[in-house]
Amino acid sequence: MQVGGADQEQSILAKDLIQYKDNIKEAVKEGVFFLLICGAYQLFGKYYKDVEGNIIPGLEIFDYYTEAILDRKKRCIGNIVIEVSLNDIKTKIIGFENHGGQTFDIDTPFGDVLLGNGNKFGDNKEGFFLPNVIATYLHGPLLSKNPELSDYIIQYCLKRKYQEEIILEPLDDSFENLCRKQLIERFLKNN
Amino acid sequence: MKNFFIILAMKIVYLGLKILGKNGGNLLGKIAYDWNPNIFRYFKINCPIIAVTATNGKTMTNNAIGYVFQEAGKKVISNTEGNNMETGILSTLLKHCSLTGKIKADYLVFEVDEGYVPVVFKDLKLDTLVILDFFRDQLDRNGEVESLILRINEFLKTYSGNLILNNDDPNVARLGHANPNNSNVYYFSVEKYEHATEKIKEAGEGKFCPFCNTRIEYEYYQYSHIGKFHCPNCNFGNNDIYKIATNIDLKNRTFQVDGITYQTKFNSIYNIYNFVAVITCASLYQIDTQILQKAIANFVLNNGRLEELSIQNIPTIINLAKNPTGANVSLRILNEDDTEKELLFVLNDNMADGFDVSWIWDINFDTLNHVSRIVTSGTRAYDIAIRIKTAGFDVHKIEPYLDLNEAVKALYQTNIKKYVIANYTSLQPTRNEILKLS
Repeated sequence: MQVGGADQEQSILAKDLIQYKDNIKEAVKEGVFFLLICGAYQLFGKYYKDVEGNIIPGLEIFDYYTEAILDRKKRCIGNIVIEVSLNDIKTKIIGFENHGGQTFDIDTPFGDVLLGNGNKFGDNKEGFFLPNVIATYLHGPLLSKNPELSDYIIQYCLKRKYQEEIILEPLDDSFENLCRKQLIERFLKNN
Repeated sequence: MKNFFIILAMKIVYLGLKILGKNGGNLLGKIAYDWNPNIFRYFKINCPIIAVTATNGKTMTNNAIGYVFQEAGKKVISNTEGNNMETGILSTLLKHCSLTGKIKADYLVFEVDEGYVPVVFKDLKLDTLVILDFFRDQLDRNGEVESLILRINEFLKTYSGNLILNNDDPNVARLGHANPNNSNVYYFSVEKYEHATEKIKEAGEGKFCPFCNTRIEYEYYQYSHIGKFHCPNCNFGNNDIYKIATNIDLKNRTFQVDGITYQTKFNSIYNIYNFVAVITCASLYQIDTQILQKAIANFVLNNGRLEELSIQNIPTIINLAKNPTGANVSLRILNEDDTEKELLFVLNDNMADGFDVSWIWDINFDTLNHVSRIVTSGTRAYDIAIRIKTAGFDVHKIEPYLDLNEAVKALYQTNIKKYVIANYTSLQPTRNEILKLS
């Protein structure tokens, strides 16, 4: 799992990570699970073009690319709700997005936007998805807000390790469910 | 002529507000600023202007400086109610100026929002700027803390007044290099205190040297990323210290500077930093040490900022926390107290709080000392309950209530000591709800 960060830290990290490009590509191919959020989502693409037009090369693991919006003051910021399909079961994912980058050329998005922006301003798609890769602009934090997503990732990883179908023992998610119910009602009320 | 009429009009509005028993907040400034954004130039100010900026501790430090100067017999005009953006400061000036824009005072003391320093002091001549700290705060409004620091750094490049900097915050100490020709830079520091740690305990910023990108080394951390640090490569951080607090005794609420013991009404390490900043500032204006000592001993803030109350004979401590560091220092105070206690945490996500509540994940709830129950409330009562649960606190001892009234009632069902942490828009409603019970 990898997330974004402040510019200085992000560029130190990117320089370091680029040495392991081939290993990462190999791991993705072998089905290792990747959860990529915000800056990491962008970094796994072809490139990031900043406001001045400079191209910052990505790891080129996937074919999408990101361009900064030219107006520095504009960012996609706010609560976001998307609908995703995990193992063919539809579920809503809640989070918060805060990004200036607009990501293009996604064939397999993570979900449909019910509230918020998604990959670009006013987009109806959010993130990038493969069974072993979830790349998204949603923090929130993502996992505690969305127990079904956490279960999906845990189940995927266990299945890959033990080569058999694993059924997870239920945990007490009562606070999480109350929280989801409250927020989904509140967020989607005016939609 | 135009400015004369703006001031006249604002005086009339202010009179109206006063008749209605209202203070008006930043209203006057907002109208005047919309009318003429260059109105700051019109004021005739012949006294020093002192400003305090930071992520945390602005109000306390600003009010303490104003209080100290007043106790020394000076006439002080200050925005003590925390209206700290350009319109708030403008409101304060409008209320106190003559129709020709003259301001009669010995000192103007302002707390200024960290994003607005370059705006406010474009046209007002600043004599002293105090900078306390920079932490992660409302990322959805302010952006990364780095961009905020860079804007202030840009402003300081041409500033040559007094600059009082916290040498224990790398984000602040770096600003001493903004203008190499400014010989009026004064660093302050606080000696290692009892609960300082070798490793960082709470989320912090500035892990790398801003000048050479080397990882910064710490001798110790006081709280968050505040502590004794230096860059092993370029020696950044190794400055001459103008004032240092020593012999920190939080139990007895005392510390020393220059061999003089100061008694305070506060018991947290971050308050000591604020007071050393106040002492540094007072020293630059030759305030008598005895007056300073007495003023610091009497200084209080009764607005829910580390306020101590007795509600139905139950000791209750209320503190504001609008970002992780604010919450973490509140929890430090709680954890440094060995008696049994219960906690109320109120979290709202209104506009002024920032819509993004993910900052609660940077609060360190891992080792709560003798906390027997936690009640949560606010528009994000469940979010904070989940955060606390995830830290390993027994879920059966967490009670979330969306309704604040219910939460406060539930809290006072026992006689155990209370700690209350509330964020920006929830602080006063929470305080009022609690005061109703007394």
